[in-house]
Amino acid sequence: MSTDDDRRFRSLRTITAPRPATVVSVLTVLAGWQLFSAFFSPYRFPGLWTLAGNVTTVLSGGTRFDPLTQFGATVARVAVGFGLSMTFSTIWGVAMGARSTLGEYLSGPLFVLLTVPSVVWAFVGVIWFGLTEFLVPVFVVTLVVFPYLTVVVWEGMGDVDESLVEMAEAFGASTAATWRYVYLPQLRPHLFGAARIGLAVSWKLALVAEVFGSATGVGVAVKHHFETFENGMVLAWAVPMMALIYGADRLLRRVERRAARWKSEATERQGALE
Amino acid sequence: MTRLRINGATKRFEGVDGPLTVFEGLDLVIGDGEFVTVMGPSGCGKTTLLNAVAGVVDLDTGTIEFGGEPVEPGAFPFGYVFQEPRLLEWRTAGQNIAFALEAAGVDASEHDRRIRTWLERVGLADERDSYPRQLSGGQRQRVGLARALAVGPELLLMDEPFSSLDAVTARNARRNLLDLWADTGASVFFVTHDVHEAVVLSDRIVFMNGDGDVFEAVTVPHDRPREFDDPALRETEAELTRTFFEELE
Repeated sequence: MSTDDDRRFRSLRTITAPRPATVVSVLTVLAGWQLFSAFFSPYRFPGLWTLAGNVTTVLSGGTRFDPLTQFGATVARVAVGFGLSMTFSTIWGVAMGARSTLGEYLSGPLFVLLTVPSVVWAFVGVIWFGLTEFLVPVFVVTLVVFPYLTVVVWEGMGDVDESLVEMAEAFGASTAATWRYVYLPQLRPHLFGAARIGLAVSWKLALVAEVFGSATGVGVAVKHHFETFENGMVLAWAVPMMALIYGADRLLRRVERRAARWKSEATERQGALE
Repeated sequence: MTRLRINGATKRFEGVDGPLTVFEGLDLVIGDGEFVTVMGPSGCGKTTLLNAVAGVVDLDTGTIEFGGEPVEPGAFPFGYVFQEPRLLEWRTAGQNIAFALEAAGVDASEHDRRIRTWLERVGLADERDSYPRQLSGGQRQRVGLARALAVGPELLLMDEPFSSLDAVTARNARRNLLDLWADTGASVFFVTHDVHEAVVLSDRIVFMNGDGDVFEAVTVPHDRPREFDDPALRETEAELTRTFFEELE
C-alpha cells in the first residue's frame, strides 16, 4: 500500500473510531433497556438477549420476509427522500435568506407545508399516485421533512456575516467564489444540523408510509408482526435500521468535526498560549 | 496627475422619516501617490463615501474618474482595509490573501510569491498558516493590510483601520503603513476621526461636518519622514483640532 493510501486509510479510521464518551453513552442505553425489561413481560418489553435473538432471526432470514429486500427497499426510500429534502430545503432556505422580499413570499407556503399532517400526505400520495412501491413513500418523506430543514437553513442564512460578503464584493469576488468561500463555510454547521435531523426523521416517516401502502420495506414487516401479535419481532425489525441511522449520524458528526477543524486548531493553540 | 476624482457625489438613504441625505454634491481629488485623509465625526458618511468609490454602495448622482478617465465605481485597481479585519476565519492568513488575489483575477502562478512578499512586508512571515483566531488584533489588521496591498492597488481605501488597536500597536501600524506606502507609490484614501492620526499620516486632510459637507481642506505642512512626537506636528494637530471642533459646535 502506498503511503498516500495509508494516510487515507488512517484518516478514515479516525473518522469511524468510537470515542470513549460514545461507548459509555451506548452502554448506558443498553443497561437501561435491560433494567427496564425486568419489570415487564417479554411480550411487552423483551430483554436484550431475547431481542438479540429476534434480531438474529430477522437478519438471517428466519421470518417470512427476506431481510435484504425489506431493508434495501427502506434504505433506498430513506436515501432518496432525504436527498430530495436536503436539496429542496437548501435551495428554498438559501433563497429565503438571500433576499428579504423573496423570504416574505416563500414563508407563506413554507408554513402551510409545515402544518400539513404526515398522515394527510400519505393519503394524498396514495390518491394521487395509487399504491406505488417507491413514489408514495418518497413523496411523503420529502414533503414532510423538507419544510423542517428549510427552517433550519433559513435560520442559518440569518447568521451569515454581511460584512464579509461586502468584503468579498469589494475585492471583486465572483458570485461562485463568494458562495463557496464566504457563505458555505458559515452555513455548513446549519446544513449538518439539518442533515442530522433530516436523516432521523426521514426513516421514521418512511416506515409510516410503508405501513400505509407498500408491499416491501421494514414497515410492511413491522405491520405484519404487529397484526400477528409478535411484539418482539416488531422491535427486532426496527433495531437494525436504528443502528444504521445511528451509524450514519455518527459519520455525519465526524465529517462535520473535520470540516470545522480550523476551530479546534485555533482553540488548541490559543489554549497553549494562555 | 490626478488619480481619483469624485464629482458631485450624492447619496441618500431611505430613513424612517423620509430620505436621509448622507452627502450632496461632494467633490474630492486625490493625486498620484498622494495620501489624503477625510476627517469627520462618526456618522458623517465617510465610510459610505469609501464604499461608493469601491462600488459596494451605489451613488445616487455623481461620477468617478480614475487616472483622468471616467470609470464605474470600483472598476480600477484598488485595495480596501476595513475598520475590522474582515478575515475569513476558516482560512489561514495565506488563504485569506489568496482569496483576494483570486477575486482580483491575479494569475495563480503569482499567488505564492505575492502572499510570501506581503506577509513578510507586514511582519507576519511566520504566520502564513495561522488562522485569524490564532492572531492578535493587531496581527489580524496587518493581514488585512497585506491582503489589500497584495492585489497590486493603485489606490488604497482605508476605513479607520487602526481605531480598534491599542495606542502602541496603532503607532507601529502607522509607521509600517507609511513605509509600505512610500514603496508602492499607491495613492491612499484614508478615513479617520483621529486628528493626530490624520496629521502624522497625510499629505492633505479634508474635513467633513456632521451633515456630510466638506468645510475645510488643508495641506499638512511637514516634510517626510515625520517624527510622530515632533512638537511642530503637535502644534498643527492642536490647530486643526480647534478648527474641527469649532465647526462641529
